[in-house]
Amino acid sequence: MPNPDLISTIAEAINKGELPLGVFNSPELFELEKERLFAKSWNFLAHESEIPNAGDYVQRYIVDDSFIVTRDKQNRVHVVLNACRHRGRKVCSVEKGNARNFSCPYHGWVYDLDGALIDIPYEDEGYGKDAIDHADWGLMSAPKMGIWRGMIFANLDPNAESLDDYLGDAKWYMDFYTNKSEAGLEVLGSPQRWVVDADWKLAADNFVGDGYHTFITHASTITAGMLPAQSGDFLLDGIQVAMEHFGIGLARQDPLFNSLAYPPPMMEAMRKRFNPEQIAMLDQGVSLPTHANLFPNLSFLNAPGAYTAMAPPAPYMTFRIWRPLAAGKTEIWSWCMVEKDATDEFKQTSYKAYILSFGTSGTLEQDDAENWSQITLPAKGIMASKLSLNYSMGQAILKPIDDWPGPGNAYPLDFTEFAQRAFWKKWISTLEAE
Amino acid sequence: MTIDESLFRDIEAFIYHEAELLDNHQHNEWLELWDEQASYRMPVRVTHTKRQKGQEFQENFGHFDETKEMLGMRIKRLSTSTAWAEEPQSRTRHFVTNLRINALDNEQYQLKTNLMLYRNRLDDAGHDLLSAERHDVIHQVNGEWRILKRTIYMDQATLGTLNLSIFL
Repeated sequence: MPNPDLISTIAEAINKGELPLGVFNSPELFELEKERLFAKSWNFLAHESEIPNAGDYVQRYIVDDSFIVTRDKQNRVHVVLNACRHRGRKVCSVEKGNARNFSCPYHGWVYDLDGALIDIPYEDEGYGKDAIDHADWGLMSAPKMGIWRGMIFANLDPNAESLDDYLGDAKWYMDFYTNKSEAGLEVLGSPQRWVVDADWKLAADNFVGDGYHTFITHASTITAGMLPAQSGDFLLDGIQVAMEHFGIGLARQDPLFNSLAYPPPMMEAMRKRFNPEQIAMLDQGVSLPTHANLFPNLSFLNAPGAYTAMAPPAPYMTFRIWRPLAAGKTEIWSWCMVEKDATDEFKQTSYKAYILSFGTSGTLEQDDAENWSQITLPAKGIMASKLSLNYSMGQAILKPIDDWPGPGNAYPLDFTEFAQRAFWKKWISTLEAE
Repeated sequence: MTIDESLFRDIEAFIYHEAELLDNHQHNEWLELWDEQASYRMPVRVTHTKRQKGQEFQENFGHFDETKEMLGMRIKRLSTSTAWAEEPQSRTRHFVTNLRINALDNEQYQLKTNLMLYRNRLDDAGHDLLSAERHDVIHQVNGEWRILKRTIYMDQATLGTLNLSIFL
């Protein structure tokens, strides 16, 4: 059981706009997060475009639980636990593929794409005819699953609210990422995966509301030209929106950044898809939404990136899962997303812009991960773990914008920490709940 | 076509020289080894069944997919004082072995090499080991070897290193 003092001490700090550094490398909190947070949250697993055809599947994780996300012959998507009902062996040991069914290598139990038990070898001889009701012994489905805009989520809590209810007002902003075109999004290739010695919450904290770090962390990418902003503080005069479960940042400085470098025809086409309030937001001179995080660990980034002097910058978009592996250890999953009906040329330029800026080799990503690891490793220290971190930015000086057309509290700076404070409040209240 | 001994030794010396430049962080000199039309790719690898193994390396999606200009931008960044992932720099050792050379018909040569890359940083006693097979195409420009194409086939689907702020 967790030390009740630990949680209440952290909660007190968060209420004051502070946070003890130790939260970024604590085995005790990791176990608690597994049970109370990830097992009760809507976890993003895959995008439908990764499994376009009948029989397609990918293997995905919620912390330590492995799931197979499949598309059956009736075009239905399923999320089933990747564990045979006989001895628990993984029935799928690859990341991706196409199959008629899943057969366990240990004793040969066979399951359909929806998880239904099809065959038990030597069933009549070993168990007796009709002694086992196959309906009771299929692969376990995730207690809840949901799909929004092609994004497949699962929740391990059978009593969880629906995905649609959970997303709630965040959809108003997630629209900008997912609803730019009639055809929707597709994943380019497969997600990049890599393991970093950093806590998942640092990544979520960064994407949910850290417009502040760019001017110093990413200074080199402005000098070298991949970040096409006038200066590294391009989010200073921006907007940050804080909601209980979602935070997002927008720029509002220069016209290039505001369109995130989407070419004019794509901008015009997407404006027809947004509702009047969404258009009203854009018409205030703010950018398309850039960085965001949906609690707990699904992040978004849509931004312009330059990769050649021969062509204008191109927009790129990435979805993220920060999968906790252990205290202070995270597997990053980075999807590069693009409009399915965009031209091949656009997809190619968007990919080039992505790869030079984000992902395993991305020049902005490299320095983010470096920061996070150099916070995580020292956070174990006896003295360091108790260090109180200042999370007060904006508290004394900012009030929400009165006539903001969207949901949530919008603040007239992205160099602020409202969305981060909201993230930590949600995090601690989730851990406090039995 | 057989490769004569002196040509083999010449190409071998070239790839050792290239590795030395990387391990010495002589990035600008390293960039000069690349042809203007060069491509530098590391496809994302996805574990598939043996039967579907042909789909393992993503044709159109990589960890790197660089033009020479993009390599140059990365190197320009590394030359600044705020490229934090390489401040301080990674200590790397490129062990390049198992050189196989195949002459192509247009005075280009296809090389296959095995790469074991040791990477250490800061005061950590541990290390990252990145293992890969590299497929290169090289040719001569004004009597100097230039790399036209490199494809790096990693031996990991999930990469075990903080970032790819280094070159392979």
